Amino acid sequence: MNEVADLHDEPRLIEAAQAGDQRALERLLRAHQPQIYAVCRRITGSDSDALDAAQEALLAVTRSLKTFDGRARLSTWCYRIATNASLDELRRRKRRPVVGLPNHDGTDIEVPDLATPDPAAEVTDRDAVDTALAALSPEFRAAVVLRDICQVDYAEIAEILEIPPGTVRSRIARARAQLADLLDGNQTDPEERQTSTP
Amino acid sequence: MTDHLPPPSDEDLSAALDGEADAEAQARIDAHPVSSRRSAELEAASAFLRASSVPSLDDEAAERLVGEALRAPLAPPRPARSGQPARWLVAAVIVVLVAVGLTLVWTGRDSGTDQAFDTVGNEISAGTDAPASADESGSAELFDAGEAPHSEEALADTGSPGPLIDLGSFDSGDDLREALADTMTARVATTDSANLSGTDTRSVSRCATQLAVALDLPDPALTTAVAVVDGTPVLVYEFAIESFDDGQPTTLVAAVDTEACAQVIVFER
Repeated sequence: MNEVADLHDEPRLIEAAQAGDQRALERLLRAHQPQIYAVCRRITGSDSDALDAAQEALLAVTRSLKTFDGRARLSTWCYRIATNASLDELRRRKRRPVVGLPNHDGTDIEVPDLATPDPAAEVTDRDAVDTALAALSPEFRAAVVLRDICQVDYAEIAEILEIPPGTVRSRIARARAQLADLLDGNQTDPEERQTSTP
Repeated sequence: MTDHLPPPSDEDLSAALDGEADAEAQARIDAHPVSSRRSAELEAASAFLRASSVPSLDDEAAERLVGEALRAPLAPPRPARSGQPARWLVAAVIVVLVAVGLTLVWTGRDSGTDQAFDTVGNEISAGTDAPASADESGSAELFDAGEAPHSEEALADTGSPGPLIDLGSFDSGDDLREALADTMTARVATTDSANLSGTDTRSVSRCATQLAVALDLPDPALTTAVAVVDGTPVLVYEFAIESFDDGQPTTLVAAVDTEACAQVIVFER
């Protein structure tokens, strides 16, 4: 059952949690944990880093809940915390010796057959997505993950990433352009493309 | 009319896929039907991500995550470091200093605004122990942050800015933070740096002093730099500190606007 669907009175739950009601806090954390983990998983690109980032994010949600003022939606606030935790995890990863990260070697990535779901193919699809996203810079990755995986609109992404809406538009477009180049069957001549309007 | 419209960019096409294209972008798309092929490629990239499933956590892992978070207090007190003030006090001091700074800007700085500012190099050559390699033209020296060529006299004076470096331009505070996560390295050559030549060294000293006082920083700035964040000039400093979390030596990075020295970003490495 989707716990978010049960949170028909989220503002009251938030108020109760801020006042110290542990049950209310638990319901909020359980409701938003899947989305937080999804963001962390796609931005960090690895299960272990995603777990670390998601844990940091949930801890930050708990510790900072009293500062949440309700001007934005709680989900937006959680996305911001999850994104920052993921980007921090990526920075920490840069300082560690790295083994086994999905590196892209320049070969095209095959688009999976989306019309015929296959459980075995699901793992391959996730690997392909991780590989593709790993080829993007963290900033582009965060923007396109929030848009295409979390279905957040541009204004909210701007709020989450604390960047102007124009920058959101640019980062998403450039991320998709890079992904399009990686996907098999890209036909458009790169020299004919304009990345931004003059 | 359509002949005069440039072809749509990837940005136009991508925004249109999301229903976020403005009227001008849509007009460009409508005027160039051949852009549908490129639009399809971008759509395929988007669909590729949307169709992928993010593996959900098993119940045990989810339970662990939530359980750990529930055990965290809502507002854990940070242990007070000996000799360091509480965060609320620091914030209050910053507010007071910003107010003082704004007052000074509005009432007492007219003697500086209409005059040409001294270059950083001239200030250093005239008043401080400059690094040996500062050239006679007075232009600021380009150096890597790791060298930290400050003399003892310069370090003893909190307000002495030291040589400035130009970090370049950034779209947002987050971009600047990302660039400074590990080190502070110049991105613009001395000879190309409009930011360096236009920097008021009095602001550099004033903001360094305000930060040091507000945050109770024991030592002067190790490194100072200029940058532009989303069109706004900022001053960036590195200070050697003991971490607020674990007391280990680390670096505090702070960026402030040049007028009121209000913080843009502050973080520990």
